[in-house]
Amino acid sequence: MSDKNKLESVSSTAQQSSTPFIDIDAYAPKMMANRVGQVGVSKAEMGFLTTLALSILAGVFIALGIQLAMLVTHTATSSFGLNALVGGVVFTMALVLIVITGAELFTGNCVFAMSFFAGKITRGDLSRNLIISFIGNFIGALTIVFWIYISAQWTANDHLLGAKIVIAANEKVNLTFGVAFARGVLCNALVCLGIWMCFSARNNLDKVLSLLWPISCLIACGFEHCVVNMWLIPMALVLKGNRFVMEAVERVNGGPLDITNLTIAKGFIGYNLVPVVLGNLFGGIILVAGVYWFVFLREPKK
Amino acid sequence: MAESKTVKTVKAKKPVKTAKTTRTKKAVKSAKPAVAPERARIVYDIDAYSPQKIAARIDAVTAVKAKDSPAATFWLGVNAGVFIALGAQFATLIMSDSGLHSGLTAVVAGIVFCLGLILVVVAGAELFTGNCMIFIGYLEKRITTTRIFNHWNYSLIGNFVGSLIVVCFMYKANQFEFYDYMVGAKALLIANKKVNLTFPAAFSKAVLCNAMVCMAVWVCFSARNVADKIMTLIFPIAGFVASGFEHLVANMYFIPMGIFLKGNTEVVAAAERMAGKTLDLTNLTWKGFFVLNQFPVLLGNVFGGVVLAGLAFWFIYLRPRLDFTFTIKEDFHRDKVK
Repeated sequence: MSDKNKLESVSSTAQQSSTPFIDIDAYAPKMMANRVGQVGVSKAEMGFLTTLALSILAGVFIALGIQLAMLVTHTATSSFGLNALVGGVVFTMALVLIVITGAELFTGNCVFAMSFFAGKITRGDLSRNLIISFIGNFIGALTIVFWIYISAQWTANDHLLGAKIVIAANEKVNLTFGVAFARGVLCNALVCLGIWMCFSARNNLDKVLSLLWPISCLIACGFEHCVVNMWLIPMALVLKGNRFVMEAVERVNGGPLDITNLTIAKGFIGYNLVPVVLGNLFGGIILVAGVYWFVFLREPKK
Repeated sequence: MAESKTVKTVKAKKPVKTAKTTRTKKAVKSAKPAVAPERARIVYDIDAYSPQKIAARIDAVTAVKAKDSPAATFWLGVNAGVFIALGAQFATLIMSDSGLHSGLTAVVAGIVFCLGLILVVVAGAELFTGNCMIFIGYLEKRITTTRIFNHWNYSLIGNFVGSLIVVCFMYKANQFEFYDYMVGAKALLIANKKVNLTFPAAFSKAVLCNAMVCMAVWVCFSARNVADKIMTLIFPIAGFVASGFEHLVANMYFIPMGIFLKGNTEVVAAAERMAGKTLDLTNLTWKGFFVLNQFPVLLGNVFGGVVLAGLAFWFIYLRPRLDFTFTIKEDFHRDKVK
């Protein structure tokens, strides 16, 4: 049950006596929609270099989050369900950093399509923001691929961490178009709902708690997030050439792994990134921003 | 309310006065004018809402909902269906193999299921089961009978549509393949269990479920910020999921998912492996879904939400005050003064 239009409920009969001058309640959905609309405008007004720098940061944060999730889950002796859950919970770090420091995440920014629907920014503004953040996220994620490779962190635990990364990435490049698209839709619906709930928050504790469930869900359930894949698959492409990592992969897999699809053009871009980006855009822009625009910001027909 | 307050203050002041005067007369005299006016004027109030205020706020929300357009109610209902289904699929995945014993697994699944209710409460959605609470506003005549039934119908249909959307996406996303088809097997077993309940069992489980869901909504109305809402939600919601109670909207995800998965031979084989016996899936059909599960669960949820939560809280906090005790005390007091 939503407690929208809290202003009206505050001014209800029972509360007239207390006369609150300062409103510290969480924002109600209608106010959240207005705030998202305003933030979308300020994002459209932001300069090119600022947006790019912030989106590089977002790519870095996501890459750090997913490498942490990989590290935590790579040889967990606990069972499948709990292992997935712990991986999801630690990945929430990435979105917490992004939301609190205000970085520009491609998937999260889909929610600001709401200000486009509300007529506050043009289609050009929206696509400019999304394209710049996509490029920036890619650069940021590749930066972390470089640093993680140099740091030789993937050799941890007798190369098993590297093996986990290669196996996870190999699963992602062997999806059919429909599966990758559906997973992309579900993923970005959850990301955008997490960002949307953060607009209800007054303080950081609110933000962290409201992000925890949706973000841990999307990683635990294995949905496809395009910025995550921008780190995971390039990292696997780099590690593919390493003999020790591939030996560890064979050990884990119980036999040689078929990595023919683990290539840049066909596997990464064609089988994964294209359907996942389309799914992410659909899930974020239509299912979250569109629906909430329709309910809360649409001008009633006269 | 006003009457009770005056009586209370009169009662409270007297012993305080006597106690203080016996100690130091001067201190009380000098302190009183400075303290009293400041206490009387509340500049801002950041405390959590008291139960009386919760009842009044739900009452006010009902008045707002009465003005909602049917389209908005329907789409918010779709949202609620999607959210609960997302929570349900998350719980299924965690439950599929947790390595813990069944009690602890149930608790972990309950905690992750809170995803659905957190999204409903914070992000804004019309959940049918939670909306049973607006019966409080109906009793206060904030909403007409046709409006409240329309509201419930639109949100219920929206919930069903939203759940089916997620079922389609989840089936398309091939999540049931995870962990050697164990995730799908668990989903199938859950669904099969739910359509093989007897009517009294389904009804009573549904009553308990919606009493707990409405309790969660009730405590959320006490919250000032999102963290409050989430932390208060977790306990009743994790409680009802872990106890295996029947939630109408969650079943709209679980059972259709099971019906879809029934056609997949690998999933059925995995489920039989997991259960350790051959499964009787004859009841797992759309007919079984509506007749054996949705019908008793709908009745139970409405009873639990409307009577046990809505009517009970209305009776406690908002019923017309016919307290003879207060008037008698007041008269007695007046007589004494005269």
